[in-house]
Amino acid sequence: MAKQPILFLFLSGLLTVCFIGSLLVGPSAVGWHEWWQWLNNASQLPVDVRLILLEIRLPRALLGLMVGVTLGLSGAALQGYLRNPLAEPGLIGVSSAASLGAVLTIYTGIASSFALALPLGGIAGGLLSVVSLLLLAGKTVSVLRLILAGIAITSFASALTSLALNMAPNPFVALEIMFWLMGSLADRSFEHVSLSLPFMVLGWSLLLLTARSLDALTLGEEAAQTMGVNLSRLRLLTVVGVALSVGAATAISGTIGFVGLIVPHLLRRWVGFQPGRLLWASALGGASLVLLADVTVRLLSSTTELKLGVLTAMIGAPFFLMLIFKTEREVL
Amino acid sequence: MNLLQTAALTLKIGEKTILKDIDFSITKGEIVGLMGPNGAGKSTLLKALAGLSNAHSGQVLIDDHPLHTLGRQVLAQKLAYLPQGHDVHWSMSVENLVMLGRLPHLKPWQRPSEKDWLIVRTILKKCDVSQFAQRGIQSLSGGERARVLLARALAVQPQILLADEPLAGLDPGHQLEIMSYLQQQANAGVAVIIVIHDLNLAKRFCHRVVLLGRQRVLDQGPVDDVMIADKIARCFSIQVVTGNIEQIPVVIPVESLGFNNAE
Repeated sequence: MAKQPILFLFLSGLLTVCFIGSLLVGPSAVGWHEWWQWLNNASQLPVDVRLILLEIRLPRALLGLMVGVTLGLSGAALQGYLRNPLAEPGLIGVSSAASLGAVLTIYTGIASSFALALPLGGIAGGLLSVVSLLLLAGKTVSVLRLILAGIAITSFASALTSLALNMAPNPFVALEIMFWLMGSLADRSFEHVSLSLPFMVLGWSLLLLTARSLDALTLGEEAAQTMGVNLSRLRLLTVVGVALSVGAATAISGTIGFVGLIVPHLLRRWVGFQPGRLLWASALGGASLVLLADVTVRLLSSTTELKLGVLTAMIGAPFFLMLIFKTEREVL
Repeated sequence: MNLLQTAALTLKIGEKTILKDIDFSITKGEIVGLMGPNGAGKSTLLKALAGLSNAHSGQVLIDDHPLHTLGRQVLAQKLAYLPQGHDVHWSMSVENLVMLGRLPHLKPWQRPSEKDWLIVRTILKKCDVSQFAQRGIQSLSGGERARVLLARALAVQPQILLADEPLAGLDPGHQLEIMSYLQQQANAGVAVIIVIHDLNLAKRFCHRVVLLGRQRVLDQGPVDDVMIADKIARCFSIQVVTGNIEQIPVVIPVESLGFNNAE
């Protein structure tokens, strides 16, 4: 019990450091000094410096935070709901569908007609996938059916994304799609923040409501039901919560893999294996990890920017293998 | 007054009829043993009593109210269900796991109070698991887990306790302790329904016994009327010897009568 406040303080501290780091690091030599000046007397700062601070660094850091919270929180919620440490936010097909929606706006050229077309397309794709998921998985509370429906949506959306690449009118469009799919937080603005924030906040709220039910579910579905858990409500909260937040996050940043898988797993031990407590811990941890990765990307990039999704996947894949071997040992 | 009662309850799984026209009831302070051969529908009946499956026809009444009219929370405070098996999905600490039993009494964002912790600690001691209160459940042996899970169900402080084979996997010492703890619960007014296979413990600790078989209630009534040689023979297809050793009732299976000879 006593460990909880310490963990909370540690994760909040870590997140603050990562957030500040994200505000300070970038290709242009703008950092502490300029922020300090801005805090004391904003009007004295040159316009270009102010632009970098407020229109480039700040939204990027905020989006890193939001995307990280989304991935950590939804990963923890799905792992708790499915009672499986290998579940991740992409499992129910939302990421692929949101990607497809965004890719289609690039493919058709709508993306270049107005700035928010791409994230809007992504969000539309994400929402469409929830509807299909709920239709496919029906009213049953069967977890297996939900996973199968998720797999079906993922493969169909991925196939259509490949088709868009295949049929790309010219190599530049194909390249743009490819780069977008790699996942990044570069060149995003406050418009992206305000577009995605409502969806994410709604999704987070739904997911946080599942905490108690997820704890009870540790004892299995039947025992949980007799403890007052409404399984169909829990499923709806989890699916819609994940879909709204992950759909919006993917629409903004592209696919950023493994965060939702790794973070809950790393933190589970520290919250005493309580799925409910893991939700907020993973949200804070996920945000820290995405911000840290995004800072790393900026530090490592020289002429070509390293993509955030590429970096998380490169760290994530070996970790995933480790997880599989570890789980196997625990089962045996 | 009957705390829990069924009226012409018929249960089906898919098209298959599991139990037909079950009428039975339990009052405060009683221990009722559900007995019968494998596949007789004991667990199915228990699940229906817990509100986990819908009756095909007939109904389950709790405090004279049809079960499906009670709110989830109300039902969860009145009734605790201990499923068969010892599956726990995450290696939560024993005390946190037992604390889950208090969830039905807490509001969605309310944290467990000092009173809740007191209840949990008392029950941990009673179930002889307080020495590993801090350990992860998955590091415990099967018998230890069984006691922890029973402790979780008791932490609800229910009026009705439904336990599906709570003695499975326990050593004789802990079987006796759990039964005498259930007896204490009954003395305190809890209605206890357990699925039990041990004939001796059933005869010694249950007040009434329901023998299930061939999709119906074969016999039910006070333990001394029901747990007699010919009724047990009819239900389980076994020949038994009954008697008393130092005033303790014993039922010893002697010979299987073969399953084809069953009535």
